[in-house]
Amino acid sequence: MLNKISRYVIILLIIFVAALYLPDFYSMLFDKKVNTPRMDYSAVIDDFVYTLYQGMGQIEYRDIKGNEYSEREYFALLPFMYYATLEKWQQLPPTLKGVELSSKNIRENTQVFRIQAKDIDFPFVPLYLMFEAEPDYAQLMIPEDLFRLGNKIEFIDPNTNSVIPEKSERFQRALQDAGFRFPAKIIAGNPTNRKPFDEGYFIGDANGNVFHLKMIHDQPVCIKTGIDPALDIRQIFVSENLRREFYGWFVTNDNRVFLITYDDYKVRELPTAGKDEKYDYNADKTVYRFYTYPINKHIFISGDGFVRMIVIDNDFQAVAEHVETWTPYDKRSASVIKQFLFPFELATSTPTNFVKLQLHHFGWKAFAGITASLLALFLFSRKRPWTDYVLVLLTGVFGLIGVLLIKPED
Amino acid sequence: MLKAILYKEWIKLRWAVIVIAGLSLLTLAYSIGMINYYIEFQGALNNWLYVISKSLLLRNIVFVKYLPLITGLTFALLQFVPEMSRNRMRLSYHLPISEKKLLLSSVGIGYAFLLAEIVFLFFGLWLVVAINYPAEIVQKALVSMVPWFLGGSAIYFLTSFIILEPSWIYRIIYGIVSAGLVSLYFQASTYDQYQSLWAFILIVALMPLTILFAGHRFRRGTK
Repeated sequence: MLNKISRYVIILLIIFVAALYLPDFYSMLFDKKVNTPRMDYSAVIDDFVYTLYQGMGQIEYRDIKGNEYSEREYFALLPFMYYATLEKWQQLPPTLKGVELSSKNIRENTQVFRIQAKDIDFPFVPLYLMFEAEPDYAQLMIPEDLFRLGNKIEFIDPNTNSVIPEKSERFQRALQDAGFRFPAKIIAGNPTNRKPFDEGYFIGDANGNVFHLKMIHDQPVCIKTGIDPALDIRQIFVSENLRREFYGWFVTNDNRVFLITYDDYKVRELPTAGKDEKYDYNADKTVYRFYTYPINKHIFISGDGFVRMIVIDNDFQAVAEHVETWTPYDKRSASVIKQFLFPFELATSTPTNFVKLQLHHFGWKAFAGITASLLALFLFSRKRPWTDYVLVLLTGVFGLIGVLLIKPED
Repeated sequence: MLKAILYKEWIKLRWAVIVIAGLSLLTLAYSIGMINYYIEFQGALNNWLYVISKSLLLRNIVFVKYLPLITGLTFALLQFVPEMSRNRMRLSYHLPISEKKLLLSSVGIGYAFLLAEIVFLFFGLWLVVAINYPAEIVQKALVSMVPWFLGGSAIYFLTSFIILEPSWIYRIIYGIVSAGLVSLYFQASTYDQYQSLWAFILIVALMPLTILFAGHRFRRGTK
């Protein structure tokens, strides 16, 4: 009996390794790259345009009405994207719709960010740097201590590996006086000195309220932002930009995206959902990109098989929207055949940079592979315990490999 | 009977146990040395920032990653290669103890030595890291070591199993499968990357059972 169990343990390990590596090898051999369009919105012709790589070094430049452009014409349609090149070609017009088109003006009024799954959830060490927001020097200086923030805030001196009691108490009091409820749930900052100025940290407390904490002349400044706790924030991002339009942005648990503006922390919702739910923003599966230009703001939501582009004006009113689609990964021929061959696959990598064992099963398509595997077992190797058949029934070609390699011993 | 098996396995492993104990001490000494070197030359604060954002600590304790692997491999080779040369294992099968008990206790004894080393490394590193770093980093470093220890355990069980297997074709198949299994435990590039470690622990926990089938095939003389 134990010997039989032992044999099945070996077969299970073989199935496990096969399900982990064989589908990957298959994809490595047969997956083909699909050229996807790069969308943009031209404020010159007020329409969506795109480039599409056609292979052999050929790039197609078009608008969505079907008009084709040369490379130079295409660049001229997108002055906010290609202003430096256009300036070099001396093709940058002086104004567009009343906005001055100079490198300086465009650069100073452009801001970009991107939200990926791995920005929201990732492995990290929960220690943070608090910069002096009004330093005596020309640039921000790296501070001499780090802080932790959980059930209380504590500054730690790396030279002695011990808490700095006086500074910790000062910050603890500042947080408490502002109405902060420990423990902190979200701590978001931008721990680099390569930024023009410092806005410190946005911290979500136990009640879901968001506080803004920074340090000015070595003193804590803590402000309750008044952002509605009912929004149920998942992750906050801070980015200091000289435009000072927004401190940062956040993603909620129901996949909405908001900006935190300099106007007394009022939030502005960015578009995430549209007519077709299929192309809505999903923080775990899609990438959200936001571009603000002097004339308008562009939003891209890109996922498997589509990119949705939304254009809004500077008052956040919708201007235009377009969805471009192509064959999603699991509908491509190599992928479809894979789903018929293998009943499921195991994977360890995640979009969030964690290692986690995951099982993706391919549903009803698995029956094709399983039936073929059962048939093969029946035809080539008949004298077998019934448990071998059950195993192949459950695990298809992986089980077939296992039971064929490891023959039963009586 | 168990006492006798313990004595026999101890005879086979004693020199290795002493050498590995020495290597474990050297590993700790190397880790202390590297950590202090970096703190000295980078400055404590910069070093902490590198440790936090560039996973520097994992490079400084890199021998902790590979020592259990080397130990597992060495113990398995020393315990079972002599048994398999000229089919000496056949003699053990004549002992008044069931072959399953015999095999499992041999593997259990070898693993106990490996586990002792793992426990020593774990607590040793805890001490080494806690002197210089705050609780957050200590916790991340310790959790990051767990998959390495599981990998070392996996290689011990799988190597024993491969050696006990009498047929070379099976050994090659098992070798390929084992490489796939062991590499599962060395995928992290930063701290605490494994989510839900239980699945990974369960896989290692199943491995000792594989030895019984190999032992059974050996008894039957299958080639």
